[in-house]
Parts: sequence; structure tokens; C-alpha cells
Amino acid sequence: MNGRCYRFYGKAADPGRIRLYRIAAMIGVTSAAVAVMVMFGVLINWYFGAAMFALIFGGVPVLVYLLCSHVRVESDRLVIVRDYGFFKQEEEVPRHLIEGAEVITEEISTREGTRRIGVVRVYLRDRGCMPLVVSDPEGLARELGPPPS
Amino acid sequence: MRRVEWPVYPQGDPRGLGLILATSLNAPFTGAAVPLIIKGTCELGGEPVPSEAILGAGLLFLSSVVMLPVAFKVFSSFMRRVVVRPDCLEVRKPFGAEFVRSDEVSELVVSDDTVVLKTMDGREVRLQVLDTEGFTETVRRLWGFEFER
Repeated sequence: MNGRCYRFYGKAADPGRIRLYRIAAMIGVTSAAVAVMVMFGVLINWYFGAAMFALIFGGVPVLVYLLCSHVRVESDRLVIVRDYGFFKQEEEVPRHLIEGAEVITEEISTREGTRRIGVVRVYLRDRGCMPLVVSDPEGLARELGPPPS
Repeated sequence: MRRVEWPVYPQGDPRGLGLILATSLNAPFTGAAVPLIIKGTCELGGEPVPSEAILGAGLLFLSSVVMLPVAFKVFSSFMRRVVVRPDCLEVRKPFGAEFVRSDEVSELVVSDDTVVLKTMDGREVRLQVLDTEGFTETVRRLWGFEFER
């Protein structure tokens, strides 16, 4: 695995650091869940302890998703990774299809109102373009090169 | 790993959809915690667990497990809402997909974050996608289609 990883949330990082985040999140949440389980088990009873373990351990997918989901730029492809801790969804766009990219601003309608986000518009050879959303759109667009004129 | 050959458009911010999906993975853990808390509470009071509580907690756990693939299917379809192909649009629904052939489309209208495709037989297909401008540009390039705004 090589190439720079543009995370969905947070700064861009190297693949090694993403792997580290993943291991740290898994071990961190599991050990926190075990610690709370023991505390509740000893203080109240072990059913409560087990319940607390389940509730805290259930936070693994969210934490791993926030820390580790990214778009990775490799020499021969662009990989979109959605990491849910227990499993991953990966999609790849062959690099030879990518002509370039630019950053645009899009308005997203939510229940709270509209908010603006930076979207990377990736131009595909003879196939139009497709949007990607990362936390550092300028960095990703720069790495993919300028859009075709 | 899925290979992206043709432009894919999500409905709204794909990061947010992924976060909802990651949170929904927590449901079976919560479903498992509830019966344990009920059992723990009864244990503290020195009373047997009511059969209704066992039934209710069991059903909650089962429904949370059963709902998981359903939630996954629904939110995944939002993340890959529309695939623009040279001869058609693949509009992904929570269960299955709808195909709109390019030669069926008579008109394409953009309003804010919605693209409306009008077909020859008078049908209207409303698509809320991220980057409507890029979407119409892609349709124009792939289908050679002109649209009004």
C-alpha cells in the first residue's frame, strides 16, 4: 500500500498512520469497554458489566469510520475506502481514466439548514466527471492535476 | 474491490451517509445490551425476569440484527445513487435499480439540487444528486444531450 490518504474527516495522512489509527481505535475502544465492564461487574453485577461492554464496543464502527475512511491516491489508481472497523468497502478508479480534478463548492440541504462543502470534481477520460468529498479537497485536487481545458 | 468504470453520483454528502451507516452498526450491540440491563436490574431486586421482558428484549435484539442488512442496503444505495452509463442511467433504489435509457429522455431540467429527467412517455424522474452541474455536464458529454436550466 502506498500513496497519500485524504481522510473524510481530519488531515491527510500516510497509509501507515491510517493503519495506526485503526489499530489504536480498535484496541482503545475494546480496552475501554473491558475496563467499564469490570468496573460495573464488580460494583453492580456482571449483567450490567456485559451490557456496558456491548454499548461501548458498539462505538468501534463510528470511531474507525471517522478516523480511517479516506481517498487514497496511488500511482495506478484512486482508492475510496469506507472503513467500518468490522469490514471495509473499497472502490477503485483506474488512474488512466482520471484526467484531472478541480474543487467546487456545493450547498447541501440538511434538517438544520443548508451548508456549503468543498467537493472535488474528478474528470474521467471521455466519461464526464464525478464528485468526491474529503476534508482536504484542495490537496486531493492538486495531487490529481488540473482539469482538462 | 469494486471498480468504478462510470461516474457515480451520491445523494447528498457521502461522508454523512457513511457516518449514519457506521452508527447503525451499533444497533445489534444496543439490542444485546437491553436484555442484559433488564436481567441485571431484576437480579439486583432479587426478582425473576418477567416473561414479557424476555420476549420484548429478544424481539428487540432480533429486529436490530435483521434491520442491519436492510439499513446497509438503504444507505449504500444513497451513496451510489446514480451511475451515468453511455446508454442509460442506473438509478439505485434501496432494493434494486431503475434504468432510464438515454434514448427515452426528452428533456433534462436542473433546479437547485434536483435534476428532473422527462421521458418520451411523459414520466418524470427526479434525482437529488451531489454536484448537479457536474452531473448535467456528464450526461451532456456521454449522451450528447443539451439541457435547459
